[in-house]
Amino acid sequence: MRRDSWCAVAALTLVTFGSATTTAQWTQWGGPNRDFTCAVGKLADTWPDDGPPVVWSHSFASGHSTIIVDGERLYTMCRRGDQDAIVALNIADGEIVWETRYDAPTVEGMQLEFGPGPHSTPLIVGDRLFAVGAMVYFHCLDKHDGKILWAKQLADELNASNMRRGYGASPIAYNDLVILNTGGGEAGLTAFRQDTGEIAWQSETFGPGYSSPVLVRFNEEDHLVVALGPDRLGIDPATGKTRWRTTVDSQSFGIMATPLWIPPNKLFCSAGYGGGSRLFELKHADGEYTLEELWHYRKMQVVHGTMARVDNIIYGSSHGSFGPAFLMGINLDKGKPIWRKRGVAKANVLHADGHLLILDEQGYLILATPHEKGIDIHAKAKVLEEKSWTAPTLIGTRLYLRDNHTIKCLDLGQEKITTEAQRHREEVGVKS
Amino acid sequence: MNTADNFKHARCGAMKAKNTSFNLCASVSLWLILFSGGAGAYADEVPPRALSGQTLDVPAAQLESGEVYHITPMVCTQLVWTSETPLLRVVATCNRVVGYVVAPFDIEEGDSPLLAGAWRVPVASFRTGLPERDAEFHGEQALNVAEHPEITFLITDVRDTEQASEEGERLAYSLTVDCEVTVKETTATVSMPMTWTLQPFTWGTMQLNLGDFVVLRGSFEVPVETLGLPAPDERSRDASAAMIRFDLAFLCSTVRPDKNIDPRVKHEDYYKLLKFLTLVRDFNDPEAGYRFGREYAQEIWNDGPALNRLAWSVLDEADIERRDMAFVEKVVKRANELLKGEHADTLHTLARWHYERGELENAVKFARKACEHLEGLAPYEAAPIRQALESYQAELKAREDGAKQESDE
Repeated sequence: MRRDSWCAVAALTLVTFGSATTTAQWTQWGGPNRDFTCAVGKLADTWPDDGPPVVWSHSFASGHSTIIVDGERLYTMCRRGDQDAIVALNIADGEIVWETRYDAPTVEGMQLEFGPGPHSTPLIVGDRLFAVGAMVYFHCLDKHDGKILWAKQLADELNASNMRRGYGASPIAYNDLVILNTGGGEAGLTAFRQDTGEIAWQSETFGPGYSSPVLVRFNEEDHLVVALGPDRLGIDPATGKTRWRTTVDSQSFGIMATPLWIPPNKLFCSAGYGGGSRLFELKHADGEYTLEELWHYRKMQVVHGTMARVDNIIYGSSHGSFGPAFLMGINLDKGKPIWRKRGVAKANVLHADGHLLILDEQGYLILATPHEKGIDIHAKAKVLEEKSWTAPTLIGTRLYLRDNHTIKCLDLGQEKITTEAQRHREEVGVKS
Repeated sequence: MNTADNFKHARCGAMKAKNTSFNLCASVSLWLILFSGGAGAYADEVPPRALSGQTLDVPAAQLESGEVYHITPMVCTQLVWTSETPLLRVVATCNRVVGYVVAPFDIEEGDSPLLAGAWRVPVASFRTGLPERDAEFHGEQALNVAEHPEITFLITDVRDTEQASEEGERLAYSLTVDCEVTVKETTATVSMPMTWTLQPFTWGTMQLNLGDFVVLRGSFEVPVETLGLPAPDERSRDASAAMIRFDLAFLCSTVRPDKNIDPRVKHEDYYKLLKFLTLVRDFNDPEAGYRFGREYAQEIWNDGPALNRLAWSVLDEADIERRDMAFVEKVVKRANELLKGEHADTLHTLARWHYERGELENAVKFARKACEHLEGLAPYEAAPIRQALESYQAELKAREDGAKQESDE
């Protein structure tokens, strides 16, 4: 998203928010506002037993990269042998339009039992697509044909860490820059010129991190907000200077989930492995920014799933320190859960016009409505196989999702689409 | 009762031949804040073992009532049985206790930190350190492991809860726990003072296990006859105890001990492998164990890596009294055939199998082959395979040097 449109989003609130989410675009990690909240068409209240209608489905190579949407094309990344692949697909039928591969051999010492990625999600700005693989190869492509415009190996050039399990943060755009986590070496964050790949700025040294940065507007200034290791940071996205910084305990070092900004000035972060969830308040006085911790609730520990906010409740899948997963809603005012539920595996959560769409790692998709005491589940269906770690993407009523074997499009709309299973039931006279 | 069906036996723990109550609660700590005991979500019987055998099936109502902490076997001495007489002290220890305790999700002031719990103790896993005493201990005149393979505990009440200390996020409580203890189908109700310490996950604790921890410790004494054991008579009292002391120390984690974190391993296969180990190791019942192992091997007969894990477990797992080398041979050779002799882990198992049979040349041969196929393994996976080759080579060389020296002499 360009800076001018970003500022408009922040400044003009709902009107602009509406326009940003109704252009049927999902060009970056987390959707239009990187908060896994989106406007949608009218969703069906429930689904048939065998799940929502499948618009198309194809076998696909492995990877956890989410699917982004730009006009008539979908884009994502996958792994083919020792190569990473950046792929464009036709939105209507899921057929591959182009695929650009590059060599990205794994590095000795990496722990890849959960796969060699790619974990990061590409970014589209104008005609360019930016993508980073697990081995920290960074590419800028022409989104129309996949031609490589420039490329960098950030492990070699900047000593950026692959974090042993593979690089995972997703790039973000600001004006003519594209900004990446590059911790492990000289700089925690690096901004590159979108047209040339030239380095525009480098931040202070911070540790590497899986958590993707977000852009927020506060005190009439833009802030790049990112969680790197134990640091919760606000960076001037134009210069890379640190505006504010708070260091939390070492248990929160392994943060992976993207922070959620709650306008006008609150920041929610959750970390697994003992870290827990924290709410911060950003303040500005006497020319200084400070980030003050309002509360810390240790038992909501979102590891690498996505979280979504509905009013003053944040929903997420708390996987804790490798223990059982709990689907939870935490009250931002009180810092306590309003509810928690077993029986849903570690999951990604998406907020779509008052509905929650929850995709767990076992491939179950849940349609639910949140309320002040919990959620009502309207439908649940197995739509993918195991290890469905990729957050789903919703455009209108079409949900795009993948796991390590399959990429598919489901129609969650209200309009009835007769599936084979429904047709069979009707033929044999069984009530759906 | 034979352990052939010891997983069915699980429910027998609730049978009560007689029920005697002892309040052995010692004076409790007078620290800090007094808590009243909350209403517990107690079960009325000890739940059966889960499929893996390494924890229990927690009842649904208890799952809803709070956080479940599973007892972690094999990280400490969990249970000590002491019988003391003027002439003898017999101390038997067990580290194969499985079960769980339940705590509130969030402990508020006035809440009891312990809501429910139950655990099972495989009698065959008690060890005194003296083979003759073990035989007596497990034998018909004592605990009679053949008929009564388990001792069970069921929490029936928790009271007198007080917060004892707070150190960072580590919270300790003292409390009195009422338990039904069932030995040889005789149930006694005992009360014991216990300490309950909540220790959240840290990068340090993960060396012991994953998850948040609770440490539960306590002890109590009961007369032997209340546990269905013969009371000493005039002639035997110098060597046979009238009272038994139990000391318990459980490290419990929110992560089940049968959690499989390797995505290459199917959960159900992992549970069955653990069930096999529960039978041959924890219950020391080779007949039932290898029968189950053969059935399981048939199920995975076309899955080389799974067969290899089964074979390796027999060779490598501690405390298996009878290692069936013929079983290992059949399973590992099938795995090697399926994997075309190119799977480092399976070749490593074959090398170890030869080594255990004293066939050092073959052990070296297969270990060397294993080292030729390390590509794709993580360093921590490759290291023990390389170390095994070095160890077999060193032993072979020492043997050859010794033989040469002998012939020279």
